[in-house]
This record gives sequence, structure tokens and C-alpha cells, in this order.
Amino acid sequence: MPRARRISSKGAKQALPVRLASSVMLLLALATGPRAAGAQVGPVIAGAVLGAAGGGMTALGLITAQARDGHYIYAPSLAHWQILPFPVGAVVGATLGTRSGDLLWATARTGTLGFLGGAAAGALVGRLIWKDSEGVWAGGVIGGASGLIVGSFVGALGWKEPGGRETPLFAISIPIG
Amino acid sequence: MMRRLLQASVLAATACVTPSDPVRTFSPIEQPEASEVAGVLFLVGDAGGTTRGYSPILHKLRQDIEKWSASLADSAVAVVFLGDNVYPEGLRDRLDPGFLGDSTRLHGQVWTLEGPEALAHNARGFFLAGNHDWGNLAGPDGIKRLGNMDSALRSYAQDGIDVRLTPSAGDAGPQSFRLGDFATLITLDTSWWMQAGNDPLRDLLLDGLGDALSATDDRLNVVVAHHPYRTAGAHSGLLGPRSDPYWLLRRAGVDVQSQTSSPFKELLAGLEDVFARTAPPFIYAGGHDHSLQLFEASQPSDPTYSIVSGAGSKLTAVAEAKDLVWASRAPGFMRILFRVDGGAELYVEVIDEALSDCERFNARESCLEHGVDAFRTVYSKRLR
Repeated sequence: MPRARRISSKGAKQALPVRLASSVMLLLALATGPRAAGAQVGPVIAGAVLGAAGGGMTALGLITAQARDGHYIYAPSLAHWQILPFPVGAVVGATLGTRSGDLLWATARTGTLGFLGGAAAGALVGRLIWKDSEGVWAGGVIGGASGLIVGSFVGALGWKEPGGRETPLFAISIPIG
Repeated sequence: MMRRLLQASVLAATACVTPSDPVRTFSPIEQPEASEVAGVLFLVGDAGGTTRGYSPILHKLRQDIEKWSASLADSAVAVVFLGDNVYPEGLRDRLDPGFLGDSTRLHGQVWTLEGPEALAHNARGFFLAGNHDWGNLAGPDGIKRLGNMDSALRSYAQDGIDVRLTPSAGDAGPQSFRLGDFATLITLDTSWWMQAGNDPLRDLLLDGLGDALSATDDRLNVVVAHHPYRTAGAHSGLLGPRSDPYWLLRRAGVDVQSQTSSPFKELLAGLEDVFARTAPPFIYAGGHDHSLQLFEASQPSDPTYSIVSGAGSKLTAVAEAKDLVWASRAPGFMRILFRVDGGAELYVEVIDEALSDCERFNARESCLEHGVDAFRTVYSKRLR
């Protein structure tokens, strides 16, 4: 019989959403805190949604890469740490939206391009290295997720505020007095 | 919430048209007199999502078992529960808060064999292990979870109800059971296979299956397991994303429970190899997909008929597929009649989806009664 592996535990399943939600709230509060009052709500919400979608794609890529390595999740509903990109993506997206709507759209644009290019390249590579019919799809998913991350980073880091002023991408302010 | 978002993002990314259920027309056959019937085998799958208090399916099954038990010789009636007998995590430990609900769901199925005629004429119940019965666990943890079901069924057996978990917990099988002079039932634990990796015991399972298929004389071989040999349901990956939120995971071979994953493909290749080396069984029946399907053999190594009967408590759609003779996503079960003259006939009993769950109705007794009466035979075929 195969080595014992705990695939799910009731406690972990119950606690995970609570922990994730708490982490998201905390990170959102920290990352957007001092600017939230002046920021437009629309880009923040759009950033959170786009970030969560991108995180979902990244999670799919992670799960797919794991499975290709022979490590399966025994039921789709039993994904644990693999879904962390979801809240992380939401936080990053909301932070970008808080910072600037233009920054968010620039990131989303390059992220989408990265996703499309990565998916196409991944599908091609998957077809070449895996002989089964699922290889194309698996390659597409893994490549798409990788391209999305790279494209988003390129878009976010390469963005400059109108007027050319360099500003740090992320800033956390903690009031001390 | 997060998982729903994951599903939603997959859906949004991959929207396309979903095929309708491929229900086909057929010419009904006349049910034979009891004197012409040697035995009856009921196939019910994935019934672990309901209880006897809410399910007209279980009531109808019990009624049919009673009827046939009263008409036929002793031990001529058998029921195979094709796995996922207890959703969502199998039968948990006694001290777990979920134990009461789990044991109620299991008892609902045992109860179908507790009628006076079933007890008097020794109707038999064979419970197979599904992935949910393993608690979605692997290795010793999963065997321990399955062991709870094994123990529970053994205690029912000690009370005189002829039920068993087969293969027993920790044994991948195959196990063979003689059903009168008309059939041999061969059981496998395919959920074990899915998590066994390169365990050499896999070869033992396949070799054992080959021996079991070779050992029977002119009785018909019926191989039963939770995972189907052929399916056009969600686990085939053939459904579109509008019917199946996990479609992309299946297409990419990520879901181990789908026929597109490597372990599942290795299982199918192993079975095909055994069937080619010995002789394919007359019937291979599985559950897993929550629908009712019948396939005919497309090549010499295929079972003459491949069946999916997994609509005992949940429903999912069915796509079009090659060699799919008939399919429906209606709730219900299948019944195979083995005739005294050596023939075999398949009957599919279903109920409207709206009537299949009495949980939402206040007048439960009336709902159950009405539900039993509303069953109809929607498909029948002379198999041999």
C-alpha cells in the first residue's frame, strides 16, 4: 500500500477559508491603508477582481504542474495551499488599483498578453514533451499561468507615473504617533 | 468562496456550448414471468448522498428487492452498490460529529435489504469502495476510513443481513462471488488503484482479475468497480465547461478521478490488456459518473457491455460518445434479469428529478409514496 498521506483534514478545511479571509483583510488594510481615502473605489475593486482571476489562473497552473509530476489532488475541492494565489492576487490587484488606475490597466494589459503568449507557447511545448492528448492542455495552462505572472511583473515594474516621476510601487505606512 | 471563484474563472475562460443528454429511442421488451427468471442483479451507484427518509430511489429499490426475492429461489437476488456509498468523506470515526449523518446514509442502502422477503430469501448486498468512501485519503488513513464501513457492514451481517464490503478494506481485489448458476460477480477496488502509484500490487490485481475471468465456466462474468470502463459523463472530460466546472482540469489530466489522468489511463490500459489476454467480461459496471449509461463493445477486448449506474443520489450530464447505446441523467438504477434459458436483459428504472428528493417537501411520507409510484422503466434491452 502507498505511504500514508493526509490529503484532507476537517480542521484544515474549516479553518482555511477563515485564515485566508483574515489574511486578505489584513494585507488589504496594510497595503491600501493611508491611500484608501483618496483612492477611487472602482480601480480598487477592479484590481481585486482581476487579481483574483489572475491568482485563479496561477493556482490552476500550480495544480497542473503538480499533477504532471505525479502528485494529484484527490478531489478538486481538496486544494489547500495551491489556492493561495487567489487571495495574494486579489491583494496585489487591489493594491495596484489603489496606487493608480493606469498602473492597474497597464499591468492587466501586459499580464493578458503574457497569458496568451505563455498559453500558446506552453501548449506547443506540452505537445512536444508530453505525448498524450492532455499534454497540450496541461502545457497551455502551465504556460499561461507563467506568462501571466511574468507579463504582470513586467507591466507593473515598467510603469511610470505620467510626468515621468519614479515612485515606489508598493508603500506601507504604519502610523507611530 | 475561493473555490467558487476558481470555478467561475475557469468557466469565464472556457465558455462553450454544452451537448444535451444523448437519450435515444428504443424498442421496449416485455418483462418475463418470474418462472423464467433465474436471478436478478441490481446496480446502484453513488447513493451515499441521501437517506431512506428522503429518497424514493431507496424505497423503490427495496420494493423491487422484496418483489423479486419473494418470487425467486434463495440467493437469486443481489444488489451491487457501486461505491461512494457515503458522501462526502466516507464513514468517519464514531467520535466524529459527522458519524451520525454518515451512518444514516450507509444504513439507507443496507435498509433496502432488510425487508422480510429479502431476509427470508437471502438477498445479498455487495458494497464497493468509491473514492469518497476512502474519505479522499490515501494509504493507511484511507484504509482506516474504509475499515469503518467494513466494520459497520460486518455488524449488519452479524444481525442476519447479507451485506459486505468487497473487496474488504485494504484489499484491492479481485474477489469473486457466484450468483447462482447464472453469473459470477468479480469485484475490484479501483479507488485503491488511483492512489497506488507504481505499487507492484497493481500487477497482482490485474493478474488476479485474469485468473478470475479464466476460472469461470459458462456463467456470465460481471466485473464491478467504482470507476467505469467507458463513460461519457463528467469524468470522461467530454462535457463542455458549462456542464462541468472542472472541465479544464480534466482536459489537462489534472483530476486523478477522471479518465484523462495518468492513473486512470493506466487502469484502463491494464484492464484492456487483461481482457485481451483472457476473455472480456460480459458486463463491466461502474458508477462514479452520476448518470445512467450503456455502451456496447467496440473492439474484441472490450466487455460486451459497459455500464455506468451512478445516479443513486446525484446527477451530472452525459455527452455524446462513440458506442454509447443509451444514456440519461435521470435519477435511478439498473436491473439485470438473468433468464433460466441463459438470456440476460437490462432494465433502467428512473424517476423525474423533481420527485427524487423528498427533503424539501413537508409531507415526506406522501412524497416517498408518490415517488415510488412515479418510477418508470425508461429503457430495456435484451443483452443476450
